[in-house]
Amino acid sequence: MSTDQIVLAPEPEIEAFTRTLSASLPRSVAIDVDHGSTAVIAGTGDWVARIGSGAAPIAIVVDPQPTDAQAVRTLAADASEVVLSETFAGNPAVAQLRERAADALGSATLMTLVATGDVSPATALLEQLRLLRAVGVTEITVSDSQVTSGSALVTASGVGLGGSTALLRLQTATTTAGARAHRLRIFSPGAIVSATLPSSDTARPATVSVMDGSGALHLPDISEHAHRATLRDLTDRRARDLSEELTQLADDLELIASITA
Amino acid sequence: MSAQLTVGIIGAGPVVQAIHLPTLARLTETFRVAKIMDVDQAVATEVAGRVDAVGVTDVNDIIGDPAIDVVAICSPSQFHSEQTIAALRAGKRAVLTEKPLAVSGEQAKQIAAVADETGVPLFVGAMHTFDPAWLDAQPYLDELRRGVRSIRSSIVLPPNNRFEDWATEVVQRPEMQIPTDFGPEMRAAMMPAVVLGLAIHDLPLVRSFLPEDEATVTAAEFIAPFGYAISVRAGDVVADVSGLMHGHWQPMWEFDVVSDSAHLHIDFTPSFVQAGSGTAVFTDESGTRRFGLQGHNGYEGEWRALAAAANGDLSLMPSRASLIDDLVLAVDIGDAAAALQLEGAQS
Repeated sequence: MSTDQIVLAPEPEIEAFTRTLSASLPRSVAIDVDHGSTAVIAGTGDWVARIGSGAAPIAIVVDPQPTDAQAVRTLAADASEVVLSETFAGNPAVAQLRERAADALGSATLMTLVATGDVSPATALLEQLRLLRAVGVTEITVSDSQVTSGSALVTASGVGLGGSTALLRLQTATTTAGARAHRLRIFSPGAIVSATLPSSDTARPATVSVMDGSGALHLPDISEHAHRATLRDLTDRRARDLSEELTQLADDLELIASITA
Repeated sequence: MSAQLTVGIIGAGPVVQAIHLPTLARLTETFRVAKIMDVDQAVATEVAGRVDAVGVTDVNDIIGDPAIDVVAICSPSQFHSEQTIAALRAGKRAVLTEKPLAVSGEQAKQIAAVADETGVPLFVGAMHTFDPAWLDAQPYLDELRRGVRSIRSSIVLPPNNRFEDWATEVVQRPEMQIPTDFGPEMRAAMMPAVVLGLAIHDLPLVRSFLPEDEATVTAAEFIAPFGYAISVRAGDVVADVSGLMHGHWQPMWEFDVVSDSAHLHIDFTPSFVQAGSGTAVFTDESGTRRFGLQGHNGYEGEWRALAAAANGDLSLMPSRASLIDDLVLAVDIGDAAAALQLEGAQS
């Protein structure tokens, strides 16, 4: 075993998935369910409490779902070393989009998000908010939200990377038809950016295109899902302000709670 | 084969020049354009001359001409009601009125009453309801309707003239009047215009999936210079009705319906150019099916359906009730969206 190896201690419900991750990073990642130094926590149920009850000094939360925002805020204040690994916001294509479509992100006037899949509207909306955060949107203010047991349609505004205010439209539909996916479109005076982000059950790449007056550029495919990217970049991720990231998640959870109340 | 139907067209604007005449040029075994009316004799003469028809300036030269079998009403919307009723009363074999059928629900009811009274087949130019992608998917849509949760009509288009200029050589293109002030009152004034001008293309499709609960507009955003994002709620169903005329080259004309177990997605082709039908993809637990991809679009589909109706086959003719309901929904959405602009300004 290399001294640089990350030794993961996954929860039982996520152990099988974690083993598929370690199989794709056989030199960098190992699994020791009882003594691993990095816990892998499924973001379901009361995931905050389960982090607290574990012995590992580091925790990776895979796809945090809606939970008590205050508990997440407390976790952030505890200076716990918690890394969030999010299927859609963390897809490597999103970072690429942010870099390659900076001009469009900086002058966006409209962003539309559509999510389909077999998850609740609250979970899909949280994923959409996290996706917006990942492309640099801040100060999200909701003006109308329609949430049913199987769908949601939210109108909001947010401030993009360039400081301009964009209209945001978030739509979700809970369905068993087809695989889970999120689609993001960013409209700016100079370009339209389209991204389709698949679920993380495969390494199917996201598709991202930037269309401007000269044509349409399909950004290079990245056949790696978010959670493998999290593990590969774990050292860098741990160096970021993890408390701030948790605080932002708490903000988003509060917004989701207000939307779905 | 039936004899050619003789067509008179009221209006000679870009929609007639770039859509209906090129479409009818593909259907010359079925139709012959005999007269085209415009208030400007020079325009009427030039446009009519393209199809060896006669240009006239008086509506009655078409409606009152017993040699005209079919009247197509492509004039400004405010004239549709009066002209449609006159054409129905003239006992034509069929009438096609461009969308919107009228500008109020009351007008639509009057039109429907006259259509019932005269028995003349009446079509509204809601072309996507005749698009092969839509029609071919019909056998699967009841499954979708049973558990519908979410509807999305998104019409994102370049300026019309991008496509008009590939379809024909337009004469007397009206100048787009783009306001410079987009205050609440202007936005309120624009909302019915964008709904009846752009959203209306697919509102019949939206309505066909809405439950009978009264539809409520919960949010409406005007997107300058010509766009809208409207939220409609009917019972447990939400509908995103959005449109944007942007400055780019790529059209994205989409329609989605998602139920608990099925998903329909349609990509429609842009108007004006003869780009064939849309493509529908229907997904449920048994797999994915693809429809459409045929060589004709909904405009040609509506003319084909009209020809069939004029010859006695009414299978594709919309019911009078549906024509009324389609218009009432559009008018209600436009009015409610306008009211929300003013309410937002007051609050």
